[in-house]
Amino acid sequence: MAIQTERTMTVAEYLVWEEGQELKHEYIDGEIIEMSGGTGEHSMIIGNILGFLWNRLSFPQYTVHTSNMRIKFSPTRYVYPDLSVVRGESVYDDASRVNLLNPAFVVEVASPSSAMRDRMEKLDNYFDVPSIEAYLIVDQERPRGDLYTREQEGWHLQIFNNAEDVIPLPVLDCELSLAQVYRGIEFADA
Amino acid sequence: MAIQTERTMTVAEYLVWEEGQELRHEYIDGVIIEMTGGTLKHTRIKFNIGGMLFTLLELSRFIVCNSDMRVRVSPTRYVYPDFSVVSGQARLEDEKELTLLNPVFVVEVTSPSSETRDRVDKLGYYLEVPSIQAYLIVEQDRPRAHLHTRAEDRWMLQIYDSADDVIPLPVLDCELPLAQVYRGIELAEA
Repeated sequence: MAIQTERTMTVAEYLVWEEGQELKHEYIDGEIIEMSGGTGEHSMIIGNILGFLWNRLSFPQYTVHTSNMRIKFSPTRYVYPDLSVVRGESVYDDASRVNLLNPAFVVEVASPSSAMRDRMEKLDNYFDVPSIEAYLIVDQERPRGDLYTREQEGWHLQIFNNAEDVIPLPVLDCELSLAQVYRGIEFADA
Repeated sequence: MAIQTERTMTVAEYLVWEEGQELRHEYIDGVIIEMTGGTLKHTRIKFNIGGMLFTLLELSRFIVCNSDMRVRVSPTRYVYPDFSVVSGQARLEDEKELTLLNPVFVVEVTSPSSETRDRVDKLGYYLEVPSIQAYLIVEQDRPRAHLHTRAEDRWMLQIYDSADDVIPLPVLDCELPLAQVYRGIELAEA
């Protein structure tokens, strides 16, 4: 869920300006991208994953962040993933603790409007963040998860699209079933 | 470049019906998808890639097909990749020679209208065709390519987006410089 606006500003301007905004905005190399709300399915999927991770992961070994947490993945790029998980201690860029630096796992729930950013720009950008070991893209419109796992030479891709599939997440020492991800959601044609 | 129609038919009906059509149509689990023409940029990128493949490949070992060649990616799915390359002998569905079964390499040049199909649907299909060793997705609007490569039973993704990047294609015993893929094309942003 994102709307790219025509507005451009410096990093410093963005950081000050965004604090006063009601909506969240990502920042990519000068451009401001407004984050809009999501559909019921979008929010249910995030809720399902969040609930599962919250129950399954032990604290303080892991910290689960919602899309209120901004990630700084380069000096000129700030984003709000739908979910991010830190292993160990969360590291921020300063004492205000508004910019997280070290997620190990990020999730984006792809809606029609965000699908291409999630699958192109972010796929590209997240690989440049060494702490990110795995990136999961969950489709909002059909049961499917694309799991990208970091390896030295690139992303290792696994696609999960059968109702009974289970997504292994060694980075979090657990696994997530598609049934859990899509609990309560009915698709027009499966 | 594709338009999804409301029409549905069986595989057998599709194969007979499509022979009588002027436009090409893909077939996905009963649904017919009409293939439209492309933009100048799309055509030029395809021509650049085709020219390189034709020049670089040993034509005694490889067969280069353009988007006139239909590929069967499952018993109920037929698509027209922008390019498909066969290593050795082509295996065809029947004596009509309209449908290729065993490409080792496929290419899609994405346009805004085909992005989702190329990156989500077709990615899923191509990864499940045992003969396919690599799937290259080339963006039309900026110099960036995603190369999915089969490594034993795993799929790896590499992203190429720097002007001096070279895309390695060991399956074809050649490499494609990104600058050549976009030769002659002015892009809005590099």
